[in-house]
Amino acid sequence: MSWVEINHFTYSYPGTKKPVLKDLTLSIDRGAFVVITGRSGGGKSTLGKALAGFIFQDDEPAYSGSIVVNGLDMSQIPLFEASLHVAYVQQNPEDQFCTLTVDDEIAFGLENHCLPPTEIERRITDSLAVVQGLALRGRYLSTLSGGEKQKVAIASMLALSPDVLILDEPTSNLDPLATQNVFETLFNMREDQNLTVIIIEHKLSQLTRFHPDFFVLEDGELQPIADIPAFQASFAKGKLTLSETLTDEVLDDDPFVEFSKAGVNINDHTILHEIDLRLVPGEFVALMGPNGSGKSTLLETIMGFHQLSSGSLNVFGNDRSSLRTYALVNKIGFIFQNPDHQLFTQSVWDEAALTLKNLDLLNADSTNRITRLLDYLGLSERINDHPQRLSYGEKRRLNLLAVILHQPHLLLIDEFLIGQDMANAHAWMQFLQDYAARGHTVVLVNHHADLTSQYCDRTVFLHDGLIILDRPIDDMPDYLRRLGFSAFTQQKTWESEYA
Amino acid sequence: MRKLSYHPGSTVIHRLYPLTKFIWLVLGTTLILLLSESILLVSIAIVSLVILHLIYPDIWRVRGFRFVFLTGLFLLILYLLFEKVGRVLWDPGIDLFIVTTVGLDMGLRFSGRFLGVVFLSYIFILTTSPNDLAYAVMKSGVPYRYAFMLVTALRLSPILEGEGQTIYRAQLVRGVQYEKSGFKKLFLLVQQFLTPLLISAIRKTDKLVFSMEGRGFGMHKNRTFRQQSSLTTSDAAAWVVMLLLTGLFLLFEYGGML
Repeated sequence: MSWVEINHFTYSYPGTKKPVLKDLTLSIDRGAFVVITGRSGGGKSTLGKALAGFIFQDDEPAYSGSIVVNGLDMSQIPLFEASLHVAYVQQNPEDQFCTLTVDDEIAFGLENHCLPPTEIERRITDSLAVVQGLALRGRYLSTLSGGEKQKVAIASMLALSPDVLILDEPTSNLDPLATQNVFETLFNMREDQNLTVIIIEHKLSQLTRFHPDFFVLEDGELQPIADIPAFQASFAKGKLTLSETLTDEVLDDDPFVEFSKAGVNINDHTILHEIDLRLVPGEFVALMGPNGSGKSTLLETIMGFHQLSSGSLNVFGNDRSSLRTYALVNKIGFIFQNPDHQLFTQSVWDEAALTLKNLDLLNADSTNRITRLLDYLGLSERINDHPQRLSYGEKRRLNLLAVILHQPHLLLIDEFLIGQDMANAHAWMQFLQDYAARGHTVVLVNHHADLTSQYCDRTVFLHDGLIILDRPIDDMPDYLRRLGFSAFTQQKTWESEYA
Repeated sequence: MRKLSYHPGSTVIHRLYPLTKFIWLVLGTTLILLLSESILLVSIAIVSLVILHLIYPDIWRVRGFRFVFLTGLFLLILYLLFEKVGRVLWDPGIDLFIVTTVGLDMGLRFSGRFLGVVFLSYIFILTTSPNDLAYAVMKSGVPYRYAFMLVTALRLSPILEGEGQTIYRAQLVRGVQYEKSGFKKLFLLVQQFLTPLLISAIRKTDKLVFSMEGRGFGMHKNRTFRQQSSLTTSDAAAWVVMLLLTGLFLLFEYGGML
């Protein structure tokens, strides 16, 4: 008998008629390793939550069919009981943590289920051993790296001895090294514990060596993927080219940004040191490096959010310390990691026009440009909607649109590709490449070595606050391997990996 | 500058049970508010400052500490300068600088009272893990479903503080100028700041509920606790010292021994 049985399962969100999951039928054996992928917003997380029994807790869930795990119909048991059989690890471990320390976090579920303290201690040790995280015992969660946090999130679920472990994009915030580490941990754990593992994930290339069963959820239907290279090839077709009529060309030869021996300290810690970096017009620069290496701090320093503790920084020919942030907004566009943190107004139109309005640049020409870009990015139907009601992909489009309407010479983008499927990622990389080709400079913090090689001109690689590599893109793989960062070159595309 | 927060250590005060320290704080503060003898209040402030120094030698680098210390001194100076009732203790020839017995007494009283309360609070915050305090409260019999709110608040507040900073910066890079806005515009900017923060807080709470219920929170009326720490002989000693000192100070204050 199958361990997980999805029988003709159909589900619609409350208040909608169109089903997000349509007549799904799938059997998963005990100990299986399953990967579910698909476009952003396609219902993958909903399927995960259905398997974990969460969606059945709504007042009147609109579903038909059934989901049975280890003989238990998930729609018929309370969530407390379901939690003992299916564990669900959320995308961002920060969102999942309920306590402040590693030990308390793993103990949380066990304490709620009234296990005796000695048994709780034993399970904390065992679950941390499974994820190779015994060294984390006793530490505060706030001191852990992204990869370590994900290990604790997984251990906190494993401690409950579930039948099935579901992980919703567990590596989306992680660098390639930490990603590899998490995948290996999951694979080994499944082997050792005979645990059924279901991962919702976009990073398929890094999973192929574990030979999982791949499925794609598209248009509400679940299909097996037989040929991963061919499947991934289909993503590169939807590129978003930026029409020349939408941006003016920048004719400037002077460097936009020049760091010289620059250092930055935050709360008595050195975050950046001895930074030498020039950003010249017309470049598409990939800013890479492990989590916590100082990438975001570097971008934020250009905007003046951190003061230099040593060295110098010139921005558009001026000493940065003599400029206020407002004085640079005209020439620098900045996009933060989380789309929700940068949507301020009550309508899509107002949001698009906000920067222009603040800069006193809103006129007939710019209004016309807003209309054309909204149309170009597929948002013209939504101009009166509240920005927070948009889908994740639409919010990202609006974020980008809101900062490029005044055509800043320099675009600084922090982790724009997180949470985006590969089709979207290709589309955006093409868009940004075209923007740079018009004489603007784009600096993009990202971890996708394969996308970087295809679209960027140059790689700047940070490690522990130091730039350890600043080379043209073609040199990147060789140099990174020599420096011991081969994990950052292993996300090969189907083209290089299988051609 | 360092943040005013729990600083791990192994001093006797660090090792006391969180509820013992909390009761010390409440009792100490009440005592300070009850006392009016300046010599007693100044003694408490000085002893507290010495303890503070012993448990955290870097205390002067903690954010806000210099400010509160100077505020205490300012209170003293204020009374010395403007309270001229009583016997003259020092007369430099300028009226403003004449020091009187009442001026000195009032200055020491209010300054000592202010600094005593602040120093006791600093000792408590620097030596007590908020997490341990929350668990101690839960174990003391307060229903865990309510007491856990403290842990949740401790968990979410630094995250929301960080998000607030990001949102503020995201406003700046969109050309917002708080300092050049009139009242009406400022109101709009604050509203624009709070909208994403509020939405983020609601989403986080939603996910947290999801995570908590998914691990059986609220399933049983009671729960077990991993941490076995409880009152020790040190706590008993601390209680005895606390009661003796309270009695002694009250005797000095109301027993006519001063």
